[in-house]
This record gives sequence, C-alpha cells and structure tokens, in this order.
Amino acid sequence: MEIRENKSGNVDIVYLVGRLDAYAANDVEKKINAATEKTPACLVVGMERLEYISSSGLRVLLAALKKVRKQQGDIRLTGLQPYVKEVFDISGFTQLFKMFEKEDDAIKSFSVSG
Amino acid sequence: MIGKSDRALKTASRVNGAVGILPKPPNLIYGVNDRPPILFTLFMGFQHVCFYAISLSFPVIIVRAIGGTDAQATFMISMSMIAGGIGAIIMALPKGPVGSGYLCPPVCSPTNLAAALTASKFGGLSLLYGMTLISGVSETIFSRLVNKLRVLFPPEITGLIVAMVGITVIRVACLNFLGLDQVGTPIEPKVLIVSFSTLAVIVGLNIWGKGKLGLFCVLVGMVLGYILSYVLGLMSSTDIAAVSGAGLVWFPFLYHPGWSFSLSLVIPYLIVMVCSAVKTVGDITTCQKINNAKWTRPDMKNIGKGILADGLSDVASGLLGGTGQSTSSSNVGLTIATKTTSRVVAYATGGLLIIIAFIPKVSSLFAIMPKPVMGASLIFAISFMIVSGIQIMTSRMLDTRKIIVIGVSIIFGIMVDLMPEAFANLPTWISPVFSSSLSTAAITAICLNLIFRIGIAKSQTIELEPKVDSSEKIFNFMEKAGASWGARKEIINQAASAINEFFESATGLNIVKGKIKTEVSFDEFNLDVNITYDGTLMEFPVNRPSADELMADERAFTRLSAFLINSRVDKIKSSAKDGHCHLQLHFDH
Repeated sequence: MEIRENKSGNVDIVYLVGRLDAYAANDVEKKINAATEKTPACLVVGMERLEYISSSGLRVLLAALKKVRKQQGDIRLTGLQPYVKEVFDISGFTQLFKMFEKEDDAIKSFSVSG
Repeated sequence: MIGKSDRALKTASRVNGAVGILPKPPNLIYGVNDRPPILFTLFMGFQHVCFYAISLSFPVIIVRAIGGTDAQATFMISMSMIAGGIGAIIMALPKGPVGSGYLCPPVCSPTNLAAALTASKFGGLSLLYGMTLISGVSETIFSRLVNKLRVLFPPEITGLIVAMVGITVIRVACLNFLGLDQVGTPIEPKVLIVSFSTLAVIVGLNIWGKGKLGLFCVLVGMVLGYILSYVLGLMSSTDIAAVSGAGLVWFPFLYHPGWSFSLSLVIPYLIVMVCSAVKTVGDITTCQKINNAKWTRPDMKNIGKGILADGLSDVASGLLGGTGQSTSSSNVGLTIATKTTSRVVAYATGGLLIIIAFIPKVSSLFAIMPKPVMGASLIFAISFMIVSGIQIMTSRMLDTRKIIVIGVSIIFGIMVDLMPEAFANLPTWISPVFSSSLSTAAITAICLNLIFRIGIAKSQTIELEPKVDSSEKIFNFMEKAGASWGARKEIINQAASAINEFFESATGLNIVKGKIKTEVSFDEFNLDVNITYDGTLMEFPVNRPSADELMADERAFTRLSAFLINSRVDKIKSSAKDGHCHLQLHFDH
C-alpha cells in the first residue's frame, strides 16, 4: 500500500495506491488523521489507483468522516475503480460519501459548498 | 447452511445449448432474436451474399485446375450456392437438434482446397463430390462428440482459433487487395486506386455513415469497386462477355456427373473435416460472444449443433455437386461491423443464395468480382474477427504455460502463411493440417494445451497466520492459481476478497486458534474455497448494518465484514465439530 499527499489551496489530498486491507489500515489512518487536524478539514481521497478495500479500510474512512463532519469539514472521494465502487455500493457507503470522477471537481466542490 | 445468495444473471445458452433470451449487447442494432424490417433484411441478406460470392473463386480454381469447362464451373458455383443457402438457413435454426441459431452462413471453404484439388485431379469431379459427401457425414458424427471434447477448447484456445480464423485469411486478402496472383509480380497503380477507394468507402461509411447507410457500407463499397474496376479497365472483355452471355434462368441439376469414392482420400478428408469443425468452433464462439452481453465461455452444446449444421451443408454440397462448405468468418465479421446479427437475415441470405443459383446472370457477376474489391472487403471483415479473438483470449488469466500455448501456436500458424513452399511437398494425408495457418495453429494449440495440463493441480492450498499475514499473500496466491487454471479475473478477485475479509474478521474477533488452512479448487464452472480452522464459527448476517449503526458503533463493522463475504459468494456453508470449524465458499464461474 502506497500513500501520497498533496495540497490544493485549503484542500488536502491523500492518494491511496494498491490494496487497503487491515495491514495497511493503520498507516492510512495516521495519514488521514494528520491531514484532518485543522478545522474545518477539507480532504479529498484519490482512489484512482486503489485496487481493493476491505471492511478495515472502510472503517478507517468512516471514522475519519465522523471526525471531520463534527468539525463542519468533509471528506470527498475521487476516481473509484469499479471493484472498489462495488464494495462501497454493497456496504452502503455510497450514500455516506460524496464521490467525484475527477479530482478537480472534488476540490472545486469545497469552494461551492463553502 | 446459514447464508445463501444466487447470482441472477445466467444465460439461457448455458442451460440447454439453445439460443434463448440473451442479454443483448447495447452496441447491436438488431440482435439475434430481433426482426428487422423486410426491405432492410433483404438488403442485409444481399450484402451477406456478396461476401459469400468472394468464396466462389474456389470452385472456379478447382474446375480450371482439371481443365474443366465453363459449364462445369457454372454448375459448381450454382450448386455451392444452393448448399450454402441451405447451410445458412439450418445454421440459424434456433430450436431442435440442428443449428446454432446464429447468423453464421457457410461458404466455399478454403480449408478444402488442397484436398479438393487432389480429389478432382485423381478421379474427376465425381470423386470430389463423393469425398465432400464423406467429409460432411463425418462432420455430422463429429458434432455429436464435441460437447464431450470441451476440455480441448478452453476459452483461451477458442479465442486463439477465432483470431486465427481472421489471420489465416490475411494472405489471400492482401494478395487480392494488391491484385496479385503471387508475391513478386508488379503491383498496378490502378489496382491500388480501386482497393484503397473500396476500403476507404467501406470504412468511412461504417464509422461516419448516417442512418442505414453505415450498415450497408460493404454493399456500397463493393458496387463502387466494381464501377471503378470497369472504368479503369480491370475487368477483361472475357469477364464482361461471361456476364452478358449468361442466361437469365437455368436448371443446373441436369449437369451432375455422379459420385465416386476413394479409400486413399479418406484420411485427408477427415483432417479437412476436423479443420473445418475447428473453424466452426471459432466462428460460433464469436457469434455467442457478440450476442450475449454477459458471455463468459463457449457453449459447446450450441457449438455442436452448429457443427452439425455445417456438416449437413457439406453433405448438401456433396450431394448436389458443390465444393466443401465451412462457416464464414468474413460474414461473422460483417455482422459485427453492421451491428446486425438477426437470424432472420440468415434466412434471407440463404433464400437469396438459393434463388440466385438459378439465375446465372447474377451468379456470373459475382464470379468475376475484381480482386481489389475482394481484398478490400476481406480486410475490413477479418479485422473484427482478429480483435474479437484477442478479446476472448485475454478474458482469462494467463500464466506462462498458457502464454506459451498461444504464442507458439500463433507463430507456427503464421509460419505456414509466410513460407507455404516449405510445406508444399508433404504427404497428401497430412497436407490439410498445413494447408492454412488456422489448422496448424489450432492443432498446435490443442496438443500443447493437453501436454501443459500435466502438473496443474485442480486444487491448491495456503496456510494463513493471523496477525502475521496480509492480503498480499492471499491475492498473490489466488492470482497465481487463477492464471494456472485460466480462470476469470473478476471471479478470482471476488474469491480473494472474500478470503481476505474472513481472515481480517476472524483475526479481529479472535475466533481462531492457530493457522487458517484454505484450499481452493477449480473447474470451468465452479470455484470452491474450503477454509478450516480451530476456534469458533463465524456468523454471516443476511442484512447489512445500517449507516447509523456503523456511525454509532464500530463493532458493527464485524457484521459488515461478514455481510461483505456473504454478498461476494454464490453459496456459503459453515459447520463446526469439537471446535474444528469448516467454512465453504462457492463461486459460480
């Protein structure tokens, strides 16, 4: 599992590459926590190259979402591959997260929603 | 059993070998079960007849090789058309023991040419007709065995055959495209004008043509090619005289020379029959794939019925006095290009072929088709077949063995086309194997595939240690096993995901003592995962925890994990005895 970071204005971006399983979940959790320390946190998670996500990966994302929404922030997801999207659909996470095909659209959505 | 779910999408073809209600791919305008308007059907049928006409050069070659008369050639053309017409109709029959149900008409087969030339030189046309009859009868018998021989035709091999069905025509198509009889003779610029213009019109109309014009691209291109050939002087006065001198109607049956047989030609004709049947496997596999959005594997029962129809068209040809027939990859390519696979078009094609057989004026016009027109049309059609074959091959995971089977077979096949003179002096009985790149590649692939099956275990085992191993070990194991079996990547991914999900949950819940043993077994229709461990049974809820539950309580993720496993599998069973647990996950393949 490879995790990369970037920033666009006040929006933090975390890219997930490979498989997000229980083994990788701790590292991802740390990175996302670091990226959501400021208030309100605006985080985009780039999933273009995420091949697989297990329930442990979903747990990390949901825990982060709960945290940032309490602080009036949000987490938005981009580029979900069909297999990962299917996991989100089956688990009901599609309703919890705002999803975008392109990273630019996700970043712009923060400025629109304020 | 504490949880069970079944995937809804199963195709009718898989169940009984008949073409029932298949999920129609969105790119088709008229699917196999659709009924286009009558005028459209007739024009589309005529377009298929034009493609059939390309193969009419073979009876002419045979008759000329024995110094036969124009009347004999015309007779053989007419009889081949009637046999082809019968074949097109019975091939499209959707019910009963004969016919694949698809638009896949047989044409005069190039596979037969070497054996046909030998037979006609050895014993005249009567021997050719007699041996064609024998070949047809043997193919009908062979068709009954095909379903039992499914092990010979896994998807990567049928994909290879489909691709080779196109590749094998490249040499003929290119020679015609350049207007050459053989390599080394000069190319005439006016030939290139006709060939490139014809191809440009066909391709241009197919891609950018508005409305129905795009669907009749080949017909329009051919007509333009004929006109250009006439204007540029590529059609000789003899050709034009042959058309103008041909009668309007005739009754060709009176010219039949009878039948004779030769024991020494039985083996070459049996090999021809096998090559023809293999080609039919490729063509009908393509038909199945292009007509079914959810296609996963060849339906061998349906293919067997198609081979029976192919054999019967050969029988008809032998009885009537035509050349051997075999399903036409060019016509199948045309169905892809025109997005029209309706079987009603097959009936129209068959009917038109039979009617035109009695009208020498029209059939002679086909018989003088200019070479660049033939070449351009063939190049257009076989492009679709080659790509379709590659798609079928790559629909499965390929390990080193399978890559070698495919790669070596293609190379051996193309070798025959590149160096035909190297195989010119082989004994008659074996020459059909090397008569085309298709037969050489297909037989090489089937033999290599059988050899390489040695040593591939039907089941493979992995041991997983909680809190030590990760998903990487599981996915690597499953990908390696899947590639050795030639399994579908998406099913292997589902199984790997389910195993990993169980592994993570069992570890998180602390329900496992010691290692988890996982045995995975595969056949073409089933992938089974047997997980055994010591500890406590895991429960698999049918209902997903709600978003609120997940937000409120992290323990709900354990239920989500079990729910994800349950939703990934087609069947799930679990049992426990004396602390020894057994979990069985089944995936339809």
